Amino acid sequence: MTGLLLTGVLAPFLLGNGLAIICAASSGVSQHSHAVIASVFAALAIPIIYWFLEGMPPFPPVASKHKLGYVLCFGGVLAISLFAWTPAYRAVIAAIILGASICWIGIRKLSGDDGIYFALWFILPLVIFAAASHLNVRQSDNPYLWPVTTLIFAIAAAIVSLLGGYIGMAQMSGAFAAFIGGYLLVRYAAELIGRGNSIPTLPNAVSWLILFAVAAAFSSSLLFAPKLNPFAGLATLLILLVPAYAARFQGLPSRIQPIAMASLALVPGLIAVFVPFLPIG
Amino acid sequence: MKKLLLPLVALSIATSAVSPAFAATKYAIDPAHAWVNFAINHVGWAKALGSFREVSGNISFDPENVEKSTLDVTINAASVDTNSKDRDDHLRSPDFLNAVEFPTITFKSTKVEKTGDRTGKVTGDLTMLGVTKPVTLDVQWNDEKPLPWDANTVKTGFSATGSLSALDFGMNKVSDFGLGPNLDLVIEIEAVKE
Repeated sequence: MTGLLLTGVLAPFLLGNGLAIICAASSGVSQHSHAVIASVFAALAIPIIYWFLEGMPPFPPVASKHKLGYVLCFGGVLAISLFAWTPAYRAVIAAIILGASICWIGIRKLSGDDGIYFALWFILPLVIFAAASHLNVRQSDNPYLWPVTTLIFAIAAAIVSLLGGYIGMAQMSGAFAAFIGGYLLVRYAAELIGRGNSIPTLPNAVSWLILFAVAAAFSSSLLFAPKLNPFAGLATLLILLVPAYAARFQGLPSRIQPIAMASLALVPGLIAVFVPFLPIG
Repeated sequence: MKKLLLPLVALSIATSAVSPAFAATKYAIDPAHAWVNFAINHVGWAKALGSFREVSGNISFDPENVEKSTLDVTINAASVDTNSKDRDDHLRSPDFLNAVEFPTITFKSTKVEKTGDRTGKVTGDLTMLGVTKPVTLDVQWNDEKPLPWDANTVKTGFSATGSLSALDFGMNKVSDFGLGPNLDLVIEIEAVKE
């Protein structure tokens, strides 16, 4: 148990702290250099978190969880270059990459007898993720937008995966939650002591990469968890629509913004967590 | 060249002519009377026990020429039963048996050795979670006789034990849950003579 807490919570949390510190340390350099430094750190941290929990995947990969390891590495490499594209292309590319990743991870499920049913689970995250990526919200306007959404998404994904009987992927989503939570804690603590500006906004590439990692892990649960509640899965995905309402929080004080966003994200999040306990679930 | 080939062809015809003398009898595993049980250390407290409910396959067995025998078994991974539905669901997940991606566990014998009057060692390729590794079973042939109520149906029966490491098959999560990693197998199989 101690080992699990260390590798699944503490280490990712410290890596999240590290991401915030890297962001703060690179605040003096140009915006592009800052984005590259933070992206490289996140691109390394995410496969390390995977490695903590699942070990080194074999090559060629045998099972879907091994493929996830390679998808996370590939996502990191891509994230560093993805945001050179215009927002319209970015959304399309983000959707294609996530779609191709889910397809590769879930090929054995999607090609099975119940493939059509699970194709819905394949299309749904794809569409929502594409829509979410396409939202024209500047990170600098709302530095907590994606980190808070991703945190709630990862926590809900972890609990829904756990209830669905796929504990390994629950640990993975939980570890990603600890990672982004580690970043947010440092960022918000700086905010509370009036030094929020000392930590620049998380670059788009980094927030996309962490969201991509959680989405890929949760897709594995959607496809392979032995008893995942489909309504809980859907409610979890709805969390990704929260940024669409971000404009409503612009007028709030910066200390209140993350709490307001988290509260909104918690609505579908709590539905996702409690639906499996309902008689209809 | 023809001079060399002709004796070879003649030899192969002669060999095939005598081979029926060594023909092993074929048996089909009786799924209702096949028990593939396993025991795995659980944090040192006890050995967790479980079994697979759906087992099928074929045996080719000749008591006079045991080395020529073969064994081919298929197990439905989703049929795992440890007397707890929640635990069985988790065992079917990709953390352990990954029953959706790898629905079957197969064992195909590659070598059979006689070690005693009714005992032997069966080495074969066990394929689980997409990984194939050699596993050796200590096998005892118990008996062969017709059913008490049907003289035309003859059954033979075997008991086998073996051991394998779950880690060899990529089941890394066993350590996280304080399990194993070694898995002891206790197998009891009845097969119907064809």
